[in-house]
Amino acid sequence: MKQGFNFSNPAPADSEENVLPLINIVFLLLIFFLIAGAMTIPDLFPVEPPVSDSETPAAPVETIVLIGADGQISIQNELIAADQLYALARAIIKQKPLQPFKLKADSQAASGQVIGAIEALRNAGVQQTLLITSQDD
Amino acid sequence: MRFIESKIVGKRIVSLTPLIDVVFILLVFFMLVSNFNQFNAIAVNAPAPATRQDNSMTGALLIRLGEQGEIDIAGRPVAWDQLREIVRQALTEKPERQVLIKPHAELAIQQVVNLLDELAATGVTNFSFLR
Repeated sequence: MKQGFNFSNPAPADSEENVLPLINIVFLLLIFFLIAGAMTIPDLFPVEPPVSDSETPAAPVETIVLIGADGQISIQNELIAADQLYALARAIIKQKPLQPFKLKADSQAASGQVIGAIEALRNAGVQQTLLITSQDD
Repeated sequence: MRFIESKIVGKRIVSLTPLIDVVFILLVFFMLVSNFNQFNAIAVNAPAPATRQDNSMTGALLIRLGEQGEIDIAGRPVAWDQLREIVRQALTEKPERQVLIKPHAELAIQQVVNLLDELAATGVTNFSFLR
């Protein structure tokens, strides 16, 4: 007994023409993700920046210092000890004197440690330190 | 006639299926890799070592944050909802007066950022941190 769909019918010869709208959409999505999505290096350890009303967008900055909730510190995605920060920041500043630094600290990081890092960067000659915040949503 | 013929032949040689495969793979790659997080920034200063004992600090407004996040302005305890009013009063005489923020070492940085937001709302631009 034969019922339901008939699968035996071969696809029409020009079936490729039917996928053209699909390809168009996929291409548009591809271009959207290419342009809108910034590719960034993932952080070494998870860091959730503090929530703030600040609306100054974080400019793209090369040098990023991460401070985790448990006190881990990394610079340029390399895990370091807290007392190495000054020397490493100084080495970067010697090469690029006007380089701003991004400080991405976890919202639960101890403020003593974050301020210590700000001081270390300041003493190393960093002209501008940007504390990264996220927007409340 | 020859033109039509070559067109048909070309269509048969270049199949669309591999193209779609590659485009899909690219699409999935960019969807996974791209990052739409928009972060903001606050410019922060620590006092320069040379000015640490300098006169620029005298007359500065000292705000301390306790272990539980309680505020203390120039030695007087202040509630969070009174903060703006008191800071505004303190800055009316001398708008460029420096504000020093001294949080408890163990306090989460989120509390300090909350304080910075409050200060930004009252128009404080000249602030720095103390340990």
